[in-house]
This record gives sequence, structure tokens and C-alpha cells, in this order.
Amino acid sequence: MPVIALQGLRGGCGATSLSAALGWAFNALQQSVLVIDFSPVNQLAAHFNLSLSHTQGWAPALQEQQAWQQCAQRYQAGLDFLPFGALTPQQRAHITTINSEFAAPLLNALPALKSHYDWIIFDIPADLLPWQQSFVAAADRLLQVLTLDANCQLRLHHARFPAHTLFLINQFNANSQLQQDLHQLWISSLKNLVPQVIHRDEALAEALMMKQPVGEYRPHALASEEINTLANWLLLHVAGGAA
Amino acid sequence: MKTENAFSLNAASSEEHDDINALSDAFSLKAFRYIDIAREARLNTIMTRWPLLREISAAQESER
Repeated sequence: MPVIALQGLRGGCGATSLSAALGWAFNALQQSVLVIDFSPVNQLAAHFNLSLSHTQGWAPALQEQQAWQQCAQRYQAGLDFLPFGALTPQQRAHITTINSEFAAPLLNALPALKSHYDWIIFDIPADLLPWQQSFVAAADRLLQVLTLDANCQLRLHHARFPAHTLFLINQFNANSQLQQDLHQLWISSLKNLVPQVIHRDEALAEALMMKQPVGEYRPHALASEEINTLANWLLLHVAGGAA
Repeated sequence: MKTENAFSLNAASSEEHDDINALSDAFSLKAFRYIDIAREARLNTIMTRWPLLREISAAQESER
């Protein structure tokens, strides 16, 4: 079933929080979900209440030639996640230059994973490492997470995006003149903009402090309801089409 | 397979205008035209307010 890669246009756009929240929202719609962390920062696991002292993950497992499958965690029935894992300083230096052979076992397992789960979500870091490109290409959609600011505007101007990219606005503050202006501009000029924006919501910021996906922590918060709508939109527009 | 550039300040999405025109024809909703004009005026205001956007727009215009 569909694979969606979430990636911030820059760091801090909220892609990891949204990955966890979207996993929760799909699961609430009776979908089975696997969320995979691709960031050496290894923060996805904290959104799913994994102990900070738990250092195992698929990346160190593969570097040590161990079975990455053993690292998967079950948050609840139908909602699984695969932590990236904590790297030693040496492993961390190595992972930025490593070739794609390293992650091949996980990439090769993707067809089997796709047949097992209704949705697979990749949490991809903003600064893409070379070996991660094949994972972005393997996804049915790349959901590029944007915030309405000059930094993202400049990056939109300079970057080139794969054809399967969708753009999602996060952290929208309707009281900001700048954000209102950029929102208007992007609506009329950005191709493949997802019609649902996610507002800046304290509940989303607090969710990681509570070590929970926002939909579980504050099910009726604005951001939670918007993420539910996003999940439904993806069910209609991505599950129906690309997969 | 990269798209040329997903972002274009100049793409005043003609498809969208066609949709609006089609709707307008179908239902004789002349109000759509006013909304259209209001939106373009708003975009012009936005472009004049922020020098960064003006510069990006000018750069795209010269690339054409």
C-alpha cells in the first residue's frame, strides 16, 4: 500500500511531529501503519514514548550487520514504528558518507512491508543524505512540509522537486501579515499544494514533551483535527490513485 | 524526473481561471469576476510590500 515520505523543506518545519501524528490519524481510521525514522537525530521514537535510554534502531543494526527487524516497536495494534537508532560519534561521521549499499536490506524489504501495512510513512530529514535518495524515489508521494516564512520562500525559489511532490503548510499563524501574504501567494502559484493547512498549535508543540502523538495527547486540538482531515484527504487522493 | 520548478510566481494558473470562467458561464455568476480582480489586486499589493518577493519575481521574469 502507499508509501509517503515526509520531509521538511528546512529543519524545524515539523516533519517528524507530523509523521507521528499522521501515523496516529491513519491508525484511528482503522489503517495499519509503519512509521520509519530516517534521521540520525533519532527523535521519532520519543513521539511514541520509547525510553530515551533505548538506543537500538535499524541504522546501527545494519552497520553492525544485525537484523533490523528486531528494532521495530509496536505502539498499539496497527501502529508500528522503526527507530533510526542512536549512533556512536564514529557511526555518525560514517553515515553521512556511506553508500546506498548500507540501507539496501531495508529498501529491498519495502515490497514485503507494503503488502503488510496499509500505509508506510518515511520521516526524512531536511538535509538529504545520498543513500536516502533511493527511499524518496521509492515513495508514492513526497510530502514536503513548509512553513510560511522567507527562508522557505527562498528555498522554493531555488530548489527542484521530484514530480511526485506534494506541498503541505505547517505552523500557520493566521495573525501574521507575512504568513497571510505568503499563503495567498502560494495558493495561487505553488503547484500540488495540499488544500489542508496545519495551524500553529501549542498542542502540537506540547505533544513531544508529553511523548505522545498530538492526536492522542489532544484529540480535539485544531492541529489534531486538521491532521485527521489530511489523513482522509490522503486516503482519497493517494491511496485511490498511486498505490 | 524532476519537475522544472514547482514554484512559479508568474503562473497565475490559467486552469483555475478557466474553471472560474466555466462556472461563471454555467451559472452566470458574474461575482466570480470581482473575486478574481480582488485576488489579483491582493497579489500585487503583496508583491509591492516585500522586496524579497519582488526580486524573486523579477528573477523569474528574466529567466523566461
